Amino acid sequence: MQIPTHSIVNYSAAKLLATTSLLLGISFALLPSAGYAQSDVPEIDPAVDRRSIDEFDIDSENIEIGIFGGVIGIEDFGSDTLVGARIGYHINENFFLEASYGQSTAGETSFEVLSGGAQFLTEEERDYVYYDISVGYNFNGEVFVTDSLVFNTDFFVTLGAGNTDFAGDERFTVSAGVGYRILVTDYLSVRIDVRDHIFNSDIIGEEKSVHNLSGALSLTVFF
Amino acid sequence: MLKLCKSMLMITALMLQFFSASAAELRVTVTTPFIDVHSGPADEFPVFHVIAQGDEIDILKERTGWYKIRTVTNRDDEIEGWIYKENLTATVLSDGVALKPPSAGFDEYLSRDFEITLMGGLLDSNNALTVTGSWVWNKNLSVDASYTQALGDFSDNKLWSVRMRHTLYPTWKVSPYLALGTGEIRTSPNANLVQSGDEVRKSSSYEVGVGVRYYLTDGILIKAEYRGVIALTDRDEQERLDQWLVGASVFF
Repeated sequence: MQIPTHSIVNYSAAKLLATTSLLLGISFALLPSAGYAQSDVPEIDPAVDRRSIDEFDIDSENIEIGIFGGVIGIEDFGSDTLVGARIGYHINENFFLEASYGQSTAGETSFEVLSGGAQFLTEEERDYVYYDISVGYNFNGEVFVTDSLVFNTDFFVTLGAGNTDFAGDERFTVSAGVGYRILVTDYLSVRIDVRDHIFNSDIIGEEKSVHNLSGALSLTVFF
Repeated sequence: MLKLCKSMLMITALMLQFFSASAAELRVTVTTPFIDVHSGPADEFPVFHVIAQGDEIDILKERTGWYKIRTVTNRDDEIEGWIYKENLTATVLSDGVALKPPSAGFDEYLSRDFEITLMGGLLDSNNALTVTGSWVWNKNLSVDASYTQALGDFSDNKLWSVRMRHTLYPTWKVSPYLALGTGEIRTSPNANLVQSGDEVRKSSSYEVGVGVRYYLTDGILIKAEYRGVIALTDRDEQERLDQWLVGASVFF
């Protein structure tokens, strides 16, 4: 009768090997340096366990939303009150994207006033509505009101394109502007915006490039 | 009167609780020799304070990669300022676990959920402006909802479409993409033209798109694209519109 000694031996050897390697593994793992095991162990991040900041509910304030009011000079139609709203997204510390909507009602051309009654446009056509999307660049700064009263500020330039609905027509409109933002608190800002809205128009006959300058004061919040 | 005062106080307390609850704060300890504290959320703002190793700070909020912090002291001279996100790696939580800043750069792009794209260009020979919102389904595929307006001298075209976009090599910084979609075109003649046929024409459309995107930096992508739009008109012939676009995207 044969005794299967080899299998017993093999089993014991395997067990011994497993135990030894486990112990070795633990001792290596406990060693501060992972250098020894580099050849046969896949790369282990030597850095300590990290928890991502994303797991915590830290308030992010990259979106700016606000309302504005001001004056727009509609070429040939005088200066009129402008009101509107904007929403922006701050991509990084310098660049931001912004969508604006504004509306005004055009006055009368000098011809209409002098002729005493002849009207170019119907009341409805006098509604001036625009929207555009702009890219802005912030030049960050500070303003020192007194020794201890300091506000963060941005001087910014914007360039955008959009649509102007006026005199019964929609026109592709390019807008360029500059502005100044004072952050009263981290999340509340007061802004001054000056923009030129440029489009081609043939409202009073000949086709020409029209420049409508607007100046507005905005109140915005970051959230 | 007393009752009114009491209820007002209670409302105020509740509101305070609400606001303090919404603005979660996180206390961490600094592990590097120092961290610069800026007076505003940008590199340009001056460093006005330095937090030393072992100091405790509260993280209050985030803006464009900068974190507002408040120093924790027993005295009244606590300081509020801004530190850059990379400095979070040099802080540990109360249980000794280190903090990891949010993924930045291209890694952040790879884990995005939404994209917003603004493009300008030509639709046939008219200036066209396109806004696209995308939902990123997986590494390769995204679903785009796109709106284009091309306001010409004689007529205005407004197009919207929904399409599927396939990015061929999503892990490359430069990658071509293909898109296939369907939508609608609305064409209206300008008011200054002869009044006949002054109604808006609507037609269904199909579009194919070929483009390339490039990850520029700091969360901005550059895109250039061609779209071929087939309008299914009521007339005998189908109308084809060629659109050439360049623009930029941001993602969340």
